[in-house]
Amino acid sequence: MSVATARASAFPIPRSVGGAVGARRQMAVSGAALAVAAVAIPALAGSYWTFVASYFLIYALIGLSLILLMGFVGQISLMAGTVVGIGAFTSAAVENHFGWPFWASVLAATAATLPFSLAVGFPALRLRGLYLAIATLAFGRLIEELLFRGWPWFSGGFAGVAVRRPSLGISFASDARYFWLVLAFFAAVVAFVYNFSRSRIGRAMRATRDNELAAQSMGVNIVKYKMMAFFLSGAVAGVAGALQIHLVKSATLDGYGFYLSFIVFIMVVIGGARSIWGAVLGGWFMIVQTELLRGVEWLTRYTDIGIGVGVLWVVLSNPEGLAGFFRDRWAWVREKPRWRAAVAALFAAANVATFWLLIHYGQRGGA
Amino acid sequence: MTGAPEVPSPTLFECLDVCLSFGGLQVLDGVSMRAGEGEIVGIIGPNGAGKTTLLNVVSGFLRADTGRVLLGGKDISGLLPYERAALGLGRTFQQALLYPSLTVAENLLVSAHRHTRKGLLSTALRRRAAVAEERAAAERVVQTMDVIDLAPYWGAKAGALSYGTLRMLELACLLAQTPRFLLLDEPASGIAQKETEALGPLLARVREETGTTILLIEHDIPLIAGLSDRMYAMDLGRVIAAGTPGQVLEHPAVVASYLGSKAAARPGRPGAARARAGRARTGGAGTGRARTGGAGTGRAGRARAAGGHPS
Ligand SMILES: Nc1ncnc2c1ncn2[C@@H]1O[C@H](COP(=O)(O)OP(=O)(O)O)[C@@H](O)[C@H]1O
Ligand SMILES: [Mg+2]
Repeated sequence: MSVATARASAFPIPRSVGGAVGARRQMAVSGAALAVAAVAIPALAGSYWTFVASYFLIYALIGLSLILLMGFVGQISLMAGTVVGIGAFTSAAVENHFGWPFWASVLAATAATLPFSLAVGFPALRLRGLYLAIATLAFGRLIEELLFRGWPWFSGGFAGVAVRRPSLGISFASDARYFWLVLAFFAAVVAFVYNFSRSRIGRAMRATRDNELAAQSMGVNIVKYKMMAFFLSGAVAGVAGALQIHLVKSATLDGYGFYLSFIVFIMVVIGGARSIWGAVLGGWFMIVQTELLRGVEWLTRYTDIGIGVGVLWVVLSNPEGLAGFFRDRWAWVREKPRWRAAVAALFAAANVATFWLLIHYGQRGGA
Repeated sequence: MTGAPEVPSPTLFECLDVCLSFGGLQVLDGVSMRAGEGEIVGIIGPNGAGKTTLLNVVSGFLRADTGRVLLGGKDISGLLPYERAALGLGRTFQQALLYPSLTVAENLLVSAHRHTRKGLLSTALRRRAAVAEERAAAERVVQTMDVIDLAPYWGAKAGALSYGTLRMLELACLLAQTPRFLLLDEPASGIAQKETEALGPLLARVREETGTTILLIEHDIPLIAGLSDRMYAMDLGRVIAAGTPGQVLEHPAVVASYLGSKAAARPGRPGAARARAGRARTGGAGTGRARTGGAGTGRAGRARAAGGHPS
């Protein structure tokens, strides 16, 4: 029936089967959105909020690194923040001690995570759920003790380390320029993850997460795909760490480790661990929203309550987080696009207005 | 669709003297079987006979203590499950096991995994060859719809399907996987009568379309007898009878250990003549089972307990 007609047409594959085949339009739309963001945010939001935007993108990358584990292959990690620290300190160390350029330091940060991914990934093959969470937590603490606290050459000790933002032909020192750099990295990483996630590799990972027995019986090497997810997760966290330390320009070891791991974990739970959107929406909720509320004094105290409510909302009624919530709303709009699109537009406009009010009448930032 | 071929086809699958014990329990006790290219081979036996365990040994989820498993003349006893699957071995599980949070389309595409090669970089960078491969996999999946039409469910999550549809999806997945050798563990279990009736012709069609060899475990005697070219009966980890469905169903040891209780507990299904043959023997079953129980082998207790329904 529908398949028969579909097969007769020039593009014989139903969209829902298409996998990586029909991704061109999404890529065009995302490319346009990124271009708009690249121009509009530095131009309209001012230096402080451009800084926050970079911060948000970096957190989204850290979230993505966790999603590669939690959402793609179903492995829990409570050491994302530690891996970010490895990336950050590695890039700072090779720049400060060896004089390596920025590009090389980002590569070094990525490479430095590999042995740690290996060290966590292999034992993790035998662990599950809570036990895996606790094991990663313990391993993260161990790294913090040995590498961060125990090795001042690497981490700068309690005094911390300082780096300079890169200059690659043109200087990326200003918040606006650095935002472009972060945006470029973000776009590249997301495109990479998006493409492979829609291909056989991503499907094999999700099959592994859903049902290891069935996946094996269909020829999926679950060890390979779990390890691949660990390596990719570490690499993305490493890049995010390098970008983060160059954003804030100086950092101490307190900034990385369990607290950050915990924040990112919550962020991914609220955003939704099963989709790339979860990283973006979770980052928005945890970073941008918190920053917005911080600008208005009487609202500040409600941020933690908001996060708590967010977690409860997910746990109780929305296991796929904000990403799942918005996906369902999107489906709702598409059902009867005419008037429901208007409702959605109104809702979006109200949010933008609130956003604008908070920026302009909050004590922080402003152009 | 029934009846053994005149000339035996070349051997595709063989297991030789497979033994396996769990703790002290000898679950497989020297099992040898073979299946020729394109054959449908049935295995019957009471619950606890060791059928599922044998399937797990063949597909690599369990290692035999002794004995070998051969596929296409190659010893695969040492291979991991995914390696065996890559060689063309496919299986289903007694409970339909798929990917509940993946869509029907994605479930089917995962099944085609062994027909795709491209790695992380070429898929992530959308290299032309990787996209072409995805397209080919999608086409393979679309083609399975000729045999099992799940097109109305394309975008539905597998977890939201009814159990019967899920079992159909499982079979469609096997079509996408196109194994040379297919292991089916009670495909009719847990689905409605009407769907069971459709299953026989469907499996015959699967063999016709793909030429795959099938090793089938099933309690539904009319179904399995109607489909199988040859059958084995197992009890207590041993093969107790082998031959054409007729020979196996009439074998005294089979009547004694299995058919009696099963056929009595399950009124015959319409369709196959053998259903009636099976039921006709029900009369003698009580005595048959009594003999097994009284055999005093020390295992008989377990056989009775596992064999199920007192008649
Ligand atoms: N993992 C296991 N550990 C211990 N005993 C098992 C295990 N799996 C199966 N058995 C036992 O092995 C015997 C055969 O089981 P099984 O192969 O599932 O039988 P069948 O599929 O023929 O009903 C049963 O007595 C069962 O209790
Ligand atoms: Mg069984």
